[in-house]
Amino acid sequence: MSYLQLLWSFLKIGALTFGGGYAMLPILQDEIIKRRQWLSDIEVMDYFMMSQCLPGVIAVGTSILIGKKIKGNLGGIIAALGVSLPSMVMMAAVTALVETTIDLPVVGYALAGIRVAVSVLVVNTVAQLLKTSIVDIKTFILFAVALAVALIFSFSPVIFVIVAAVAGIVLKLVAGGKAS
Amino acid sequence: MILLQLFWEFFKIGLFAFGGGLAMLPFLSNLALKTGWFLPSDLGNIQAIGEIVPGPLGVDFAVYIGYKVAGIPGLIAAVFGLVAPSLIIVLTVASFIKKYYKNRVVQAAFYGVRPVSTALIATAVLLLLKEALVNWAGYSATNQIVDLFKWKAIALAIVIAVISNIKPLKKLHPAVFLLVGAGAGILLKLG
Repeated sequence: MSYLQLLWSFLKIGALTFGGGYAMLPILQDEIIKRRQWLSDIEVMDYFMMSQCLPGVIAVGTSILIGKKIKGNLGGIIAALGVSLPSMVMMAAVTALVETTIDLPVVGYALAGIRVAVSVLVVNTVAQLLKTSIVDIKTFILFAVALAVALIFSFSPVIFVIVAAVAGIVLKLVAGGKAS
Repeated sequence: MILLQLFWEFFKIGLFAFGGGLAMLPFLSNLALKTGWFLPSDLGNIQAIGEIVPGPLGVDFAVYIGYKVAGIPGLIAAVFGLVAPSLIIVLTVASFIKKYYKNRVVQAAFYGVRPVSTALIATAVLLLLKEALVNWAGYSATNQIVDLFKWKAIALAIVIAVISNIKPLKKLHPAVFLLVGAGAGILLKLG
């Protein structure tokens, strides 16, 4: 597997991610896990979360982590550039053209439809993630509590991750020793 | 030199904005006021265009502003500036993680983080769904429950949910469903 294949995969991912970070997940799943089988979905999910705790664009950070895992530092750089390139090209083209493109009703309708499709695709991804991340009653409780808190308050994801990491360590290493 | 300035300004944003494109907005407003390269009011438009254009939203801001200020070289300077801190920090952290990933403590931490991250993503999805399928404006205007929901969008969502989950069609590339969404959106005149 070559750098070129890595670049091509990330060009595809960059070209198909419409909107915020989460929209990237279904595309990542398809390309990295199903098609290329470079990583497991647990690894991809872990990288996505790590990227939220690090500065910068989430999609780029995730790409760097995946690229580095597959092909070292150079792989990380190629992945970052690959995922950004389609955006750069299209954005430059649209900027150079006319701003009135957004006002066309057709574009509005298509966008609305794409938003619906993205929502559904991410729901599918969540269903998948539920299966891999909830493995026992403790993880289920963590999920339920986190969901409730996230729906009511708006803390930064970094806080959730830190608390979750500590909880995980306590539950698995501290309490786990006492369980029969 | 303007290219260096573009690189530097976006390097700072790339370093301090945690959480992706939208987290960049306050920094970008500041940038507009400080340099006069663009107006703070431009940001809303850029975001709208960024929704149409594929790729990470943060990059879209860098491209638009970089291009506006200094053409293609400006665009490249801005994007490289934005991405550079990420590259440096993430590659460094990744080396660290690689050594310790299998470590019991790290694995235990991830055991806790995974369900929580699923919950966070689920929350974001619920918001997305609310945006796409619920119509508060319509409801507050007429107070009829019927107007609360965007029925056409819900119908489309159900169709896509079904086709994306049945055996032969499941394997289709996600892009296919995006296209279906776009086409249906046009046909149905979704708003």
